[in-house]
Amino acid sequence: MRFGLRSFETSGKQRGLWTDAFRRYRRNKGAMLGMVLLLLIVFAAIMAPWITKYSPFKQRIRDALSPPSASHIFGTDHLGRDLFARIIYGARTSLKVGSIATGIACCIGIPLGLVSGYYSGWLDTIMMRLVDILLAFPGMLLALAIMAILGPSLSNAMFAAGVYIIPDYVRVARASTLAVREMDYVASARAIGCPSWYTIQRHIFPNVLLPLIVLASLNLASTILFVAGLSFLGMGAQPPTAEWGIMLKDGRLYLRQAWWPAVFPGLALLISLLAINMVGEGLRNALDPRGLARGR
Amino acid sequence: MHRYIAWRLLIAIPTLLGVTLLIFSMVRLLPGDPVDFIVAHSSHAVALDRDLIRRQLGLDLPGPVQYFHYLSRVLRGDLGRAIMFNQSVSELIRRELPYTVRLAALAISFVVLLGFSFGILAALKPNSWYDSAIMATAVVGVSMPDFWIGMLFILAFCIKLRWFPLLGPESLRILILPALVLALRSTAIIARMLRSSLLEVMGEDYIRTARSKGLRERIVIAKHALKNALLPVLTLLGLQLGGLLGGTVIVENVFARHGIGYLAVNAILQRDYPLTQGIVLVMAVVFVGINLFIDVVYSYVDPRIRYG
Repeated sequence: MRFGLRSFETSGKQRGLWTDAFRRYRRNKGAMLGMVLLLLIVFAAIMAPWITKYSPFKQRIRDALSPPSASHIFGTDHLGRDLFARIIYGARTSLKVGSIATGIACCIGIPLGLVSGYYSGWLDTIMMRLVDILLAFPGMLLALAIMAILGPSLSNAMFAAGVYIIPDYVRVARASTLAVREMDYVASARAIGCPSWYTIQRHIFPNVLLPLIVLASLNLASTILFVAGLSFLGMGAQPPTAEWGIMLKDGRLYLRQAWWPAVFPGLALLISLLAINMVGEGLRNALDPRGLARGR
Repeated sequence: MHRYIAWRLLIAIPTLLGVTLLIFSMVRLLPGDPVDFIVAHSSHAVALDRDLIRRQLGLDLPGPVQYFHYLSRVLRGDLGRAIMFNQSVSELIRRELPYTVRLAALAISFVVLLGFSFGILAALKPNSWYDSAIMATAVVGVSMPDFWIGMLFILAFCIKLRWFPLLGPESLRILILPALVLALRSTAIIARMLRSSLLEVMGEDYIRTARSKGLRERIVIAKHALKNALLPVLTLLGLQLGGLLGGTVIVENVFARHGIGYLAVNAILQRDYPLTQGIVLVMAVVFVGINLFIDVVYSYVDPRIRYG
């Protein structure tokens, strides 16, 4: 475990890190259940047009708010759109949103954390102060401030969610870098004259990767929830996008007439979040037993 | 002790300065002329107000001077005028803040009460049926979208069962559902943390000593285990407070309640920048203050910190 990605280099009979991790993961029932659920959701998102014959946008006002039945298994919304179709297509939106927001945070936060931890000194001090300022805002508030500047839209909500979690990556990457920097192999790399950027990407990055993978998997769920929340407030996805948050926002307005538009999209959101969180916890147990990656 | 508090207060100052700078820059980051932008996007601002808006935002002066003016105005408690209601921002915030404070206060009591009871109950007999039930509920609780569970509560308890009123004058009855929704995720997190923290402590030597002295289990847990298990939970509770503050934005909107969060969302959707800036500033200051408070409390509870 201490030697990081040794298995990449010595592909011998020796049991490597990844095989070990996979064994640990497989023993965890919750994690396996989460994985199966998540794969099902991804499958549904990709195969959406083949799973339902309805379009998520086609309105039939005549059928507005019709209860679940054989033709519309989850019923229809206030504009007569098939809820099942909108939920399946909504999975596409949510998975995309979660991955992009998490991706933004990784791409900005990890390099900053690596550099901050590797060089230390004044650069590190400034970086940590900036992170402190960012952390001085409760997440929702930071998102609101960003939305106020950029205006309500799905991509802006995605961006806001990404910015909100950047400090996590900076801190986790920095903390692991500080530990790895003192390893002999990093000293050797420096001694044979590797340039700093090469040492960072070739010797440090692979060895700080594990807690970051765990963090990213947990953040996938929190960013999806975050953006759905913003959409619910009218600041994320705009109509007629098929997105669970905005579907719930619509469902709330017709709560007295119909329960199904308020129940099914939320159920889809809950199941997705549960699945991703269970996978994330499983990965944490398998990859990061020391618990370096603490999500918020 | 006092030196530690003074030091914590001192390092809060640059953070707050950074926060004000960020909020100050907000309007300047708008694409094009902010005044054009505000007038074009707001249904409340009229073209006639242009000069007024420009002067209020202080956009007629050079940047650093603007910031200095902004800072000195804020320090005097003047947050400008809201475009939406043509009212003083601090007045609006002062009117809405009590609603949010009441909601958050009740939610925190729920978190402490329920989180602690369930956490202790689960730790008393690990792997019993109620431990499994509590932990399974906590796993779901952590993933539960707060706006959805809020809607389900309204559907079940306000519309179908009619146990609670949905609208009406502020009262404990009308506060209970929103506070429960707000408390849910933190309760689940605290219960989980307290359980694992307690279980860890129960394996320590001093617990065995206490038991071998013949102390009753109740006293072993209350006096010996709980005290030591509480430290990590306290840190987490502090972190949860910030989340709770952000959560009020969602909960107030689900339940259509008065409050800062409700005001904030309207201000943003209406592109009322003076109001948005004011709310973000006030909430950030409250948040920094809460963190400060927790750090100080923590240093009382855990003397190691002061000398660290």
